[in-house]
Parts: sequence; structure tokens; C-alpha cells
Amino acid sequence: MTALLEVSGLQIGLDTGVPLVHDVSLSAAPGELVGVVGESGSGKSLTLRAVAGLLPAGVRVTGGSVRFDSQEVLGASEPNLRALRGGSIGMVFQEPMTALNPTMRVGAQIAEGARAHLGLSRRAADQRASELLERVGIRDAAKRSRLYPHQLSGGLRQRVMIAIALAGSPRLLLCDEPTTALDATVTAQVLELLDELARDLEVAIVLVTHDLGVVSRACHRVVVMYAGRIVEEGTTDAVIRRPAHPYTLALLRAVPTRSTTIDDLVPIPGALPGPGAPLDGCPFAPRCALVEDACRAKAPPLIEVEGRRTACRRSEQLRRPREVVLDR
Amino acid sequence: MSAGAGIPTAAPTWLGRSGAVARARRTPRQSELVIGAALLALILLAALLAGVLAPVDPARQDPAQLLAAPGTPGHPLGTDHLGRDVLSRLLHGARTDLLIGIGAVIAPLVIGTAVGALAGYLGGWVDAVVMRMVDLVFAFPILVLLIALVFVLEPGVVSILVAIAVIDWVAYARLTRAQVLREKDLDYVLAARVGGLTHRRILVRHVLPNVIAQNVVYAVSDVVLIILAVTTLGFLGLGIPPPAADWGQMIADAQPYVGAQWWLAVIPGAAILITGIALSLLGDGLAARIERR
Repeated sequence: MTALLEVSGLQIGLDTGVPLVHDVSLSAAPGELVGVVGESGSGKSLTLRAVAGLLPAGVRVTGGSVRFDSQEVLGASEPNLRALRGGSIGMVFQEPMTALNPTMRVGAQIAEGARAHLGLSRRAADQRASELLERVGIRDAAKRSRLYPHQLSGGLRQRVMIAIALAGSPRLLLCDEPTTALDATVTAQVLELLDELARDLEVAIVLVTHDLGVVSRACHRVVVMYAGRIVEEGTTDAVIRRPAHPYTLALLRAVPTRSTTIDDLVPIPGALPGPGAPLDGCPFAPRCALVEDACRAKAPPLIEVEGRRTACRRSEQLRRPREVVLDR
Repeated sequence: MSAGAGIPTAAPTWLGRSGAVARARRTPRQSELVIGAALLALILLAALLAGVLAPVDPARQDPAQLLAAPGTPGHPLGTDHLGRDVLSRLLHGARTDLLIGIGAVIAPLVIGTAVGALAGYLGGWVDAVVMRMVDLVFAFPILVLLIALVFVLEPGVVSILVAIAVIDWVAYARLTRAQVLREKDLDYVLAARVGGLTHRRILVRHVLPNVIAQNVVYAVSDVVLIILAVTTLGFLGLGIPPPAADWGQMIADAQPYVGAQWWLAVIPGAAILITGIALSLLGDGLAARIERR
């Protein structure tokens, strides 16, 4: 499969010169679900926003390229970008309450995108809005499309959000923590929906989350980010079952499952280095159990180990006491 | 509270907030809205029906009944120094002042909202130019600017409307800009942008409907300020030219008689006060409703 989205060497920094994201490369093919995990501040959301061209004021791309269907997105003109957004790229936000316009009926919000990108008439767009609501699993779609966001539950709102993102028939769906604001049952349903969309509509999905459980359930491939850098990347199976980076392993140990007790959960000591902190060596070195002098001297490059890429020199020595199995 | 004052009572307070206390809090706010609306409706009705309700023509002078006290047969609120019926002038004055107050608020509301929204949304030099203009207007006392403008434009209804529009838009521009700045980075606006909608559509369909309510609330209170400004102009002789009745003019005319015929000044003064209270209550009530949403 050829990649639909190809991010390579992406660098993001503040206007003042402080770097935030270093040399991030990732790709997504049609029908593929790619997870990007990391704790708050790891640069995962910034990476996603850079792809959509929605970086906040004061933050900009300082290097690298973002290609969509072999076309460069960075620096594209506003009309081109507008055609790309919605028409080719859709985005789902974390908090469906704030990501929906409180003053518009949900059907109108979906129809709006359909009219802008598919050139549908008002009536055809309304029709499509109902169809999309049904597609994302909302029963009684024609009736519910006339409701306002505050009249819907959190799960329904997130489904509406997905329907809005799908309105222009995009081929790439960017999801920024789509399940963080939802409870466990609804999370499962939304992940199932994303999986269906990837399979049935051949949509490429990039899913940013801090929850490894979400990744393990939904994603085919996973990218682990730490302090604005990729530390490990590979198929979900390989990365989750036998992590090759101490950070990934530490993240896994911090995830509660049905069989863990509170004592089994191991917090990661220390904190993320602040942006712009001088880092010569591996960014995880100050918090790593396996650290040695060489780690602090020079940042380890991403190397191929056992069919995945890791930015750890000592992945061979990583003690894996038991196979980590997350609830699926 | 007595002995238990220092002990945290989280649960009862919390329960109370969601139940009885919240209800008790809501009720006065709700009554503000109702009382304000009812009062204003009465005043508007009186103004609209001025022609029917007024006992006589407000401009008709009755030389036999100069400065009659309230309660005089045929003149329930008395007459002024020219023998004009005070009740008739009061009712017709309501018509003039409310019409100007409400009419004058529309242009600043529309202009200020549009300009402020553009400044907030576009930012950059548009924002800089607009905000410097706003600062310039805000630098002067509003009344002084208004008096100067009306004086230059020659007193009259049109000049008053134009002068108010020229000055008052800045309040709406500032208010709208601040709100748009807050709204434009919210997820729903970002979502509209990833949706590939044009900036015009995002501004008009998504951002404006979410900020307009505040402006309308402000406009309601603003009508009070405009009526006060218009009556002040009337008092200074820059208001509505006679013989049209206007509350400010009535107070100005009453000035020499404040000692003996105090009611001539008090009656229109009370009318201004009550109208102001009605509009303020309505504005506060509306604001509370929006906050609760």
C-alpha cells in the first residue's frame, strides 16, 4: 500500500525559536489506523494540527514536509488548503461539546460541509446529513439532525463530530483524543466506528491519544512520542507486546487493566523536559532505568530492531519480565 | 453561624447549590427580566398610544392656566409656564425619546459589531487600525464629544442619530472584538476551518451567532445611556427642536420654577428614571439568562 499521508522530518517551533517537535516522520495508508501516543506535552497534538494547517498563533512549522497524496501541504495557498480541508482531510476533536457550534442544529453543521465540498443543493445536503448520521450509528437520524448540540449526549455528540468530519468525503481523518472525554462504553463504540470507517470507506485515520489501551484496541500501527520526538514506531502488536523502548515499556506499566491492582501500576519518575531545554542526549535519559553515559552524550537515532524502529541504544537489554497484555 | 462555623460542610453546601439555593438565586434574576419587560412594555404602550391617551395637543398653550398644579381639572399633571399640558407632553416626550433611544442604538450596534468582529477575526493591521480609532474615541468624554458633534452638525434628530452612531460604535466594536478573540480559537471554529469553510462563512455563521447575544444585552442598557444623552442635549438646548415634546427639554424649561413648581422638573425626571430602571432590569435579566445557558 502506498501512503496517503506522508509526514517527514517535521519540525515545529515557537516563533521565538524554541523547538517543540523534532524530526517527526509518520505515514498513513488508505484503510489504515495509525495511533500516535505520548503524554501531555509530547507534541502529538501539535503534529496533528500541523498536518491540518491549524497551528495556534505563535507556533509554526520550521522544517520538514507534509505530503497528502504526494502533494505538499505545507505552504499551500489558502484556497488550496480550504479545498483540502474538509474535502480530503477531516478532523475530529477531543471535546465534542466545544467542537460543535452551540447555535446551529447538528444537521445544518453536517450539511454545511457537504454543500461546500460536494457542491450539493440544500436538500441533497440535508439528505446527506441524515445519511451520515445514520452511518455513524445514530438512529432516528432525520429527527435528531434538527436538534442542537446541547440536546445530545456526549457519545452522540462525538458521533455527530465524526459525521461532520466525514461530510466532504475525506480520505484522511485526523482524530485528536477522540475518546478522552467519553466513558468506557462509548469509547468502545466510537473506536469500533472508526475501525468500520477505515475498513468500509478506505479512510486513512491518524488517532492521537495518551491512552495505550485505545491504541491497542483500534490501531494497526503506533507511533510513540516523547518530548517532541518519536521514540518508537511499529505495528501495534510488536510495540505493545514487546516494547523496544524503555519509555514505551514504562507507559505500558502505567496502564491499568482488569487484572492489575494499584500496586502493579508503576508511575514514571520525573517529568517531561520542558520545551527548549538543552538536550544533547536521549530525552528520556533523566527518567530511564537503563541509562548509561553514552545515552546522555548523544541522542540515539531511530534504528530498526525486530521489525520496528526504536530510538534506544539499549533495546536489547530491555528487561521484559512478562508479556504485557492489555485488555482488548 | 455558631460553633460549627469552621468545620467544612462540603456536602450540604454542595447539595444546597444544586437544589434550593440555586432556585432561590434564579428567581430574583428571572423577576428582573419580567419586571423590566413589563415596565418597558407599559412605557412603550404609553408612547405608542400617546395620541389617544394625551388629554390635549402637547403643543397647545392655554394662557389661562399657566403653571397649574397637578390635579387641576383637565390637567391631571398640571401645566407648564406656557400653559401646555404636562401629561400630554410627558406621553409625547416618551414617544420622541424612546424612538430616538431605540433608533439610535441600531446603527452603532450594527456598525460596531461588524467592525469589531472583523478586527478580532482578521487581526493584524486591520485590528491595529480599528483599535486605534476606538482608543481615539474613548479618549474623550462621550458627552463632550456628543455635544460638540451635534453643535457642529446643527441640532436636530438626524444630527443626534449621526453623532451617536459616530461615537457609540466603539463600545460595540470593543465588546465584539474581545469576544471574537476568545471564540476564534475554540474547537468549533477550528472544526469549521478544518471543514474547509470560507472565512466569511465561519465569521457570519459560526462566530457571530455566538457573540451577538452579549451585544444585544449591552444595546438594551445602552438605550438608557442614549436617552440620558438625548435628554441632556435637550436640557442644553441642543436636543429636539421645539415644539416637539422631549423630557430633557421639559426639565430645562422647568429650571426657573424648581423652587415653587418643583413637579415640572420632577415629573419628567421620574419618567427618565423609571425608563432607565426598566431597561436596566431587562438588560440584567437578559444577561443572566445568557450566562445560565
